[in-house]
Amino acid sequence: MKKKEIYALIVLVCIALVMLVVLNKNRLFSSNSSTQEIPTEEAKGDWIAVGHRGHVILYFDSGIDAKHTVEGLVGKMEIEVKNKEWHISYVDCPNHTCEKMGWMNIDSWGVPITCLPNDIIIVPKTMADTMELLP
Amino acid sequence: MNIKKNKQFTYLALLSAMAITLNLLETAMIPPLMGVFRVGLANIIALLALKILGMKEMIIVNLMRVLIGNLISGRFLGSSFWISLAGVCLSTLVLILMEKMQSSLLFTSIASSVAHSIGQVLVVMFFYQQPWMLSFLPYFLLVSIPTGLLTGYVSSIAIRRVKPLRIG
Repeated sequence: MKKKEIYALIVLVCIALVMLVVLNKNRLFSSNSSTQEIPTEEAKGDWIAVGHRGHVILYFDSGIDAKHTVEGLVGKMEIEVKNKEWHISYVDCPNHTCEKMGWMNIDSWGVPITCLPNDIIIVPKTMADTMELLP
Repeated sequence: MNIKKNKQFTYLALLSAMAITLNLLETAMIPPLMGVFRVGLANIIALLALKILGMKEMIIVNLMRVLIGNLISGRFLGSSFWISLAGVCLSTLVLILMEKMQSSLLFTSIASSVAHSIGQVLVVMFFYQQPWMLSFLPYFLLVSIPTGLLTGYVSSIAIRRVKPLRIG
């Protein structure tokens, strides 16, 4: 590889890291777009937000083992919470990509569980609070 | 002249078949990291086609891989078809640009991998109106570098082996 190309790669990595920081400092869901009460009490684990069409439709506590069902554009989505981790156990969607994303926890790099056909995104509340990409 | 044309056509068919097979095998056998990050093994064949056949043939191989690959897997004209088509179109453009700039194979591979990711993210952001998809882009960019290096390295080995058979 040429020297110029190595510099270009370094610039690319820097751009990615800056984007990571900037995107994590902005807000994903605006504070008044929530159709759910923003939880004020302390969570046993962490508060996780389920977003649908720019609105938070559910907050769940990752410290409480449970199954939550939400409705997306295509159909039902079931979120299973166990041992401070969460995953999609069932979804009415042709792709099942979100099911394949597997178990996530608070340390999963901030990668959101997403289902495009259902227009659903699941992120930790801290991330949802600090990102503003949706109106 | 005719033999040369036949030979080139055979290469094109073989490379297209390889790209489609690799694409399908990767989808079926290698689970993507966190459900979304893939290596992009078919990119090896795109680089091979670019280096041993030329730009026009590389475009054909790339388009065949998306069209026939999605037809076979039953996702033709579905959301994943448009997403992969956007990725392939942008990565093809970058491959042409890199070839014109006479970049090294490894850098060409990384640039094409990055362009593939950007194309996919852009189509989801604008056509599927999912602006939050932008939050995936930095992860895609960071993952594109090692995956691009891997595919570039494998294609450099493949090109060395195929070189004695080169047309012309």
